[in-house]
Amino acid sequence: MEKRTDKELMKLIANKNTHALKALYRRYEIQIFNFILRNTGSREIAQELIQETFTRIWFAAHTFDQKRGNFKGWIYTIALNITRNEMSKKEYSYHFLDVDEIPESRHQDEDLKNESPDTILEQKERSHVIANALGKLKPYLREVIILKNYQQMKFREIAEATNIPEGTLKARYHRAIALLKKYLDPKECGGNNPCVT
Amino acid sequence: MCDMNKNHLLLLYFHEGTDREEQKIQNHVNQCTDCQDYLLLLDQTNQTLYKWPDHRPHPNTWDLIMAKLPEKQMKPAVAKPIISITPILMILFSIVAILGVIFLVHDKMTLLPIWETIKEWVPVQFFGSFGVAAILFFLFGILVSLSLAPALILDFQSKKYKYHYN
Repeated sequence: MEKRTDKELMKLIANKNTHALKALYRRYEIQIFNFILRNTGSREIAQELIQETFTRIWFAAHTFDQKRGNFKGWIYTIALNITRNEMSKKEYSYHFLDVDEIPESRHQDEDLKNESPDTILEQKERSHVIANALGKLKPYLREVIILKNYQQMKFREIAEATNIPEGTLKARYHRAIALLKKYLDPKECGGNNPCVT
Repeated sequence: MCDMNKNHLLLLYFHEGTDREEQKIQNHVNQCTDCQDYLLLLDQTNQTLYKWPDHRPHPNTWDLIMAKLPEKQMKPAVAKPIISITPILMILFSIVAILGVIFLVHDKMTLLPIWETIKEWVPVQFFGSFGVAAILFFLFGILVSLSLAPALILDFQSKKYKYHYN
């Protein structure tokens, strides 16, 4: 099942094959989870919304157009709509992760296993600063940065997933980069401590 | 201030343009400090963003997803092909076997001394020797089915309740 393509898995999911859904989940769990986590800034909400995303994939699998095809765009459209919907329901103040809330990452497991507590704390602080900087962005700017930088999507693919013209997305990207420069700048963080080391 | 559209720099930075486009933009960037600065800014910001590593969802997430799916819809895993070759082969084999038997009956029937008389009859002339053999074969089949019918009906009646409760 693991060797099948996304489209083959989708065909099986449309026939209500749970093994195919599991294979798809294993393939995309980290990407989708982090996409939601970086958008909402909350591990708890990301945990909830990833479940909803895959449940919706199960029910909507028959609507995926095999011929038109871009599966990645399709799955991110679902995750994005669910995230936007959730965020519109609640008045999010973008209270992004506290240092202690930042979960252990898979890289931390591998790379920081033998590191000192100071190094681990430093890593967490770095993540916290970036999370806060992203949290200060307007949702429509943050979405572009996350899809482009973390999900490694092309602007054409993002345009397809979000139904927003490529030119608009690029303009938003420039705007977001300018703001992030400001938010990540040590002088903007106050005091002598740099935001990100 | 450089009048280059900054979107072109995105094409170059993320390698989303054609080789020719990227080469053209690169040639401009080589001579333009504003564009070089902007590319540097893009690179620094991106390098910083990548320092927020990926995280894993909770290990029980899959079980929670499964719990949300209605049981009725969890159907068999195997996708069935639209046309299966096995029944087609079986039908072909049956046709060949029936034709073989009819041919054998026809062969033996024409050797009988009585055939010389029968072959003058109009219906026999109409159907031919092979047609007559086929009719005899099917009549024999019907006869066998009818003779077995009571036994089959009784057998079905006796198993009916068993199937029901199983």
